[in-house]
Amino acid sequence: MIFLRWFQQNSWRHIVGLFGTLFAIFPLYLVVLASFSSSQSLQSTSFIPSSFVWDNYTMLFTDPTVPFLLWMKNSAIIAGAVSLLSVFIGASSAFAFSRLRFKGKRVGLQALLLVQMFPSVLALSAIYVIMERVFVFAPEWGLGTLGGLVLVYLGGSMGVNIWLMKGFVDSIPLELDEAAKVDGASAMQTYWQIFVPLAMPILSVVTLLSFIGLFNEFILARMFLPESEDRTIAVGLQGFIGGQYSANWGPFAAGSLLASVPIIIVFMTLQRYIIGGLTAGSVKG
Amino acid sequence: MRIFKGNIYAVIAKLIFVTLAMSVLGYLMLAAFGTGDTNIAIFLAVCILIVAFAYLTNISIPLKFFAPGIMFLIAFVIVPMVFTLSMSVFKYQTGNMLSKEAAVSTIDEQGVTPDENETAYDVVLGHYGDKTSTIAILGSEEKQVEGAAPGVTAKFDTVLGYLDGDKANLAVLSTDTWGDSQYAYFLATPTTFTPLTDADVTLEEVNYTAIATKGFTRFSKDELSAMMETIPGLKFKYETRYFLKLGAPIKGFFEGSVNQSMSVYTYFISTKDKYRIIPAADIVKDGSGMAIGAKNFTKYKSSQIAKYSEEIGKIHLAYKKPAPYFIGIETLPSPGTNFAYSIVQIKNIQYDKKADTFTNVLTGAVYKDDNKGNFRNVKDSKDYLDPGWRQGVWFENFTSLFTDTRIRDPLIQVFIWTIAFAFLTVLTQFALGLLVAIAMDKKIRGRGIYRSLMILPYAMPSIMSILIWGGMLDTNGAINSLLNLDVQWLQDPWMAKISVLLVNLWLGFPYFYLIAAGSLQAIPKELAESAGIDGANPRQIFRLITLPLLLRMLTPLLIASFAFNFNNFNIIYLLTGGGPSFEFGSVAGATDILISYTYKLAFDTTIQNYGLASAISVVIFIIVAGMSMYGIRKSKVLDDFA
Repeated sequence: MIFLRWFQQNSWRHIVGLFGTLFAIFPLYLVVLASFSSSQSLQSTSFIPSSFVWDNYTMLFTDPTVPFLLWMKNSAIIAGAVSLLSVFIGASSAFAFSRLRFKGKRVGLQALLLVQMFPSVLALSAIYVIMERVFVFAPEWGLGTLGGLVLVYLGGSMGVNIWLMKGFVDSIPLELDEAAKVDGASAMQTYWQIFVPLAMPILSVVTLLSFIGLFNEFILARMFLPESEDRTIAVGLQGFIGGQYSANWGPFAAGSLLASVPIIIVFMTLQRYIIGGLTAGSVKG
Repeated sequence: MRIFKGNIYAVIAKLIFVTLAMSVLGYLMLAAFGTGDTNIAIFLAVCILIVAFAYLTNISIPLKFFAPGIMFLIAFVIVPMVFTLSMSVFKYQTGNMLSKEAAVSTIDEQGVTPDENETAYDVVLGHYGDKTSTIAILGSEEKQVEGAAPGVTAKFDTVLGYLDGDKANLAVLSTDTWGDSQYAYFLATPTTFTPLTDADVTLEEVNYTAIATKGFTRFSKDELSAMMETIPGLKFKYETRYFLKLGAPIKGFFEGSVNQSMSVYTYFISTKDKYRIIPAADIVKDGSGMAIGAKNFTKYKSSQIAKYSEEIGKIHLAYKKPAPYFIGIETLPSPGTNFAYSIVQIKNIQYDKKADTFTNVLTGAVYKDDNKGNFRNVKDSKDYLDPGWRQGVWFENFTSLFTDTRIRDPLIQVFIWTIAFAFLTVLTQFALGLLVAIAMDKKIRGRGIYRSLMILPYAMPSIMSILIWGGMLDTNGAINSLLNLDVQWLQDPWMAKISVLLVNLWLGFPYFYLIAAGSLQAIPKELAESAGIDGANPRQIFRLITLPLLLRMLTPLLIASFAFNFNNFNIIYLLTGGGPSFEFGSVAGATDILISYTYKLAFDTTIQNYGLASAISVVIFIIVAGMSMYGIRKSKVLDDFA
């Protein structure tokens, strides 16, 4: 009786938990296997490793045709610069949408939302044309440059981030800045001296979310940076398996694990904040 | 009492920032003006004005907060978006990419054809007279002249006949009676030359002249007298560059003499407006007799020539025949060589600006603007000139979505799958996420471990996991080999759909688990407890209390998730590429959703149709925007409720 009761109460939970866990980790387990395997395919005949070699990892750091570290650096620079700048620029707009009273606020918010709905993949050709022209007069900021990609990403991330941060700002109590206003603070002073310090944790979370999102971006990066040493990690690694006959899963598995681990660690550590951020405004891409 | 005062450092910092921003923008603006990118330059100028207005005056406080964000949003989101949307009312596809002006000038430029004889010259580039800017070419026109070959003294006694019984197959059999050449006997036709030896020929007894050999038949006297008039014009092959001509007949024999064809050059200098014949005396020649210099003509240095590399195709120089003939330069001289390659061309397609028509001067065909983006032959509607231009066609792209079966039928299938995919994705993700959340809604042993492992798919960069799944589901991939199966996971239309849903479930269920777990905590425990006291069993409590409350809380997120998956480009494009195709060669495939289909229409096919893709994206935009607006409304209601 006691056992039955225990089963009813707990054991099904364990069954669901085990099932969910297996489902979640078995592809990841296979990737780990593949990364240490000497065969180049994702074809494994058992869950027990048959060989254990470091070749795929050493290849990433020694093969001159595979600038893995450069790719990581590019991704870090691009995603880092864009997420920081985007939050720096977007936070003030979010603050204004949340706290200031002005004409056209409602329309502005709706327009912002509407713009976000546009499937940005389809604006590729227009962005391409514009940045091609920019390259002509400002070669550091046009097509094919990291700087150009940063600009384009900045524009693209603005809508989401403003929207997301507005949600957070709304949740900060109004009393504080009303008090500041009574004490004679201008809107700018309230922003810099009250809001920014208060919102620092939130801004960091949005920066982080933005960073992860950019890390995942593929289509624009592939179009924008064709040179091997300019690629981001996602585009670079995809190159291993892009061709139908050149599937090179070993290095791909090793590379994607190395690239994912930092993200996973950060995500796991800060998951409490990140989940809160996601429910407030958007879905992870 | 004022606690906040103006801070001198803040003012200085602001001034530095504003100056910096304005000078960067100003610098870029000037550069853009410099290269003729007026639109961009004007945009940058407006940006400068906005910065100045926002930060150097106090007229609009909100603008101080919005200015930087707005500028980025306009430049990289709104402008491309408007541009894309506006393409939907144009015929804008491969072959119709240019503006009309550009198309006209391209057609005009390409509307040339080589002249009848395909005349070509090796020419020297330079300028004529004093002006260095007027490009001129110095050319040598080769003419073949025939004459006695100096230094060749050999004469042959020759008989005329034919080969293999075919009287049209003329041949001569020649004998070197005086021993002047290395050939004692030979047989020659206009195109072949065969040396013979004593053994091959039959000799005439008086002069020891060959009169017969294998396959050769001598013409009879009557036959010869009938063709007497044509004989002086006959040429038979001898050594390279030399040929044999027949002299007057003596007793049925001809004296065959060796002749030579020679290149004789006449020289010309041609500029855009004039073709001049230059006397040989004014010419500096190279070893073969071609002109490399002339009086009043200055050869361009290689640095000057390099300047012309861009516009070389557009230079039309005068030819001795009047327009539409001209000389065009095809290739510039390679470094270290004298000659550029030029050919005589005819401008066969000519544009009439007033009538806005093209005419082919050779065939007389007239091409008129067909209002659909091409110049079309007025008499033959299948004949049109390439390239076309992007032509406004109002709502043709939209109506073709509904009327053109080649577009409509795949589109309907793609649309249905898009809805099904988004709906089933949300349903399965939510269901599994909720199940896990309920299971974990009690402090059971190992919950922390379960939780951390189960959110791994969500923490992993999705781009990597999609690609990994793609490899595992391959026919030779890990899933088939581990389970000893032979399933076409990504190649069979239905399996591909299931695979996409499965992978998306893997990617997304942790998200809903986390969300649902949070929401379950937020539902007051008292509700369930009091229901329990009232006699409800756990299942009833879940069905009647927990689930409705949960759904209510999560509706906006479910809608947002639906909208997101409606446009979930990455998973489709990277996992299946939208495939397998409906039929061989069709753009759309079984797992294509609207956005991946549209992307492929615009970028991944040989005929890229931006106009159509853009029309579909307008439709997508309306659907998604509608859904999201609905979602926002819902969440407003929720806000009030809370």
